[in-house]
Amino acid sequence: MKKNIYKKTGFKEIINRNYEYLLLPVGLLAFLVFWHILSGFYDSFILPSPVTVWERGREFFDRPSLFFRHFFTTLIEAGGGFLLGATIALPVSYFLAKHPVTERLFTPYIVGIQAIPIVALAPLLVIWFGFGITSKLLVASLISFFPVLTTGIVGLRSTNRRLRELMQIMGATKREIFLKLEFPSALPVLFSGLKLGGTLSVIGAVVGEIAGAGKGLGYMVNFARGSFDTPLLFVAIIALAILGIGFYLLFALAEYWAMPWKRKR
Amino acid sequence: MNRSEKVIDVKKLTSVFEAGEEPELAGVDLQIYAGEIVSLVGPSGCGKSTLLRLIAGALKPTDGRIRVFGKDSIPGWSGLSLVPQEALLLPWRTVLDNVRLPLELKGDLSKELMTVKAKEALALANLTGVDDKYPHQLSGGMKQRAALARALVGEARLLLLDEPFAALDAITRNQLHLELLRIWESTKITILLVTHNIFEAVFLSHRVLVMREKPGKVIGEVPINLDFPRLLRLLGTSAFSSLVGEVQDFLEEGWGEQQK
Repeated sequence: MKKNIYKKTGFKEIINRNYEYLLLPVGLLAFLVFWHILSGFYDSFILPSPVTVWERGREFFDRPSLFFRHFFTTLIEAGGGFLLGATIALPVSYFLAKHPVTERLFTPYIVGIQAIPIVALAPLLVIWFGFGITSKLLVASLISFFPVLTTGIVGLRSTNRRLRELMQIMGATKREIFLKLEFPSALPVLFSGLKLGGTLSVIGAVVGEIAGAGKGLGYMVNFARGSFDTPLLFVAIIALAILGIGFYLLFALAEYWAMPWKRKR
Repeated sequence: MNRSEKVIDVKKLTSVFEAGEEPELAGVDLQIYAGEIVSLVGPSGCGKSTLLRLIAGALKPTDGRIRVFGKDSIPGWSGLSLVPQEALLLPWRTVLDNVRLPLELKGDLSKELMTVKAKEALALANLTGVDDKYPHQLSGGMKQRAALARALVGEARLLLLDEPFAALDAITRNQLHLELLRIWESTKITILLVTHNIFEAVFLSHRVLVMREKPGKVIGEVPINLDFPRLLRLLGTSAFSSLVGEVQDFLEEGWGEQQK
């Protein structure tokens, strides 16, 4: 008798079981429809319809090299900037986590630098390092540096004291305690910082480009604004959204891979 | 019992947590012999866990002497192993990898041999079929079995148990009591158990040492002359009850001293 319950996998049941995933495209479709209806009330300069944006995007894709030149420029600036920022932040966070006195000494400066809006710093970096890719790499690395640093410190400090003692009783060396205890227990917190830093790095790259650049999605935004080309502006915004989501998904995937014990069964 | 080999020899041990404060332990004397099961009973805060950490070498005594197998106790010595209260398994390691950890840290065995030994230890602790599970997927009793297996995997000849059954429900706790006695029967490993459960102490031990608090000190000893193997129905006998009463008397004596 009981088997019958499981045998009936009708349409309804499939929907019931996977509705979270179905909601995603349904929601997107609803949003597009709403956008399209709303755009009927406004001039295309204010709010172009999704169809207009799609067509403007396709024009761009007729010369794919043009689009991808901008897209990849921002991708490399954000990705490279993040890598640079995180690579510096990780050892620094280890050092500061291990030396509380030094940390107390530096905390006011860290908070201070973090409090400066990146929008204000970007023009300065462009003046110093030029219109090229270097200044954007630096803006992106600066903005992604701090979340990685702070979560790194918190993560490395979150080690269970009793577990550390137990491992010492077992004869673990400092190196073994770092590799087998401190590092893995820092991972959950650290990954939240990496995800945040990764998405912020896209913002950093774009801010850098808007401050002064010859290519990249931020440059596209600036260019579209200058030529009153709102549909192109939308194309740039959507491309940026895709880039940001892509970065986030990449980190979510890395997190899933790195922490098998956190996976849902 | 072989009274010739002293496994633990503690003399006039004093431990001050912070300079200027009242000592946590003052003048503790304690001897434990090979193959014995000894329980330390006392009110919470009497420093019994601290005493265990001192014996394990995780803390340094302020004064006095601790010798384990005739040597000064040092952390990282494989002759003893500790089973802590909350199991303390590494959440990112599977059960098998958790049990392998002490062997990895010693680092003188091949990977295959480590796995074989870990599986043997898990079988000894009666925990099978969950090698690839993570700790958060286990029940409280299974976690403690895994912690027990981890303590047994090396060549430890002294098992230090720090209230390992305190967080378990009464029935699971009794199961693990029998398991511990079975492990002792087959290995004759020396066991020092810290607990605040008088029944547990009497049921499991050859001797029960009673501590008082502020400062912590051993104030009495109750020999438990009950035959092995011990069965759970022993808990209902009058011999058992009167031994529990003896331990209780010492505990109350400790309270009395405190009020003076």
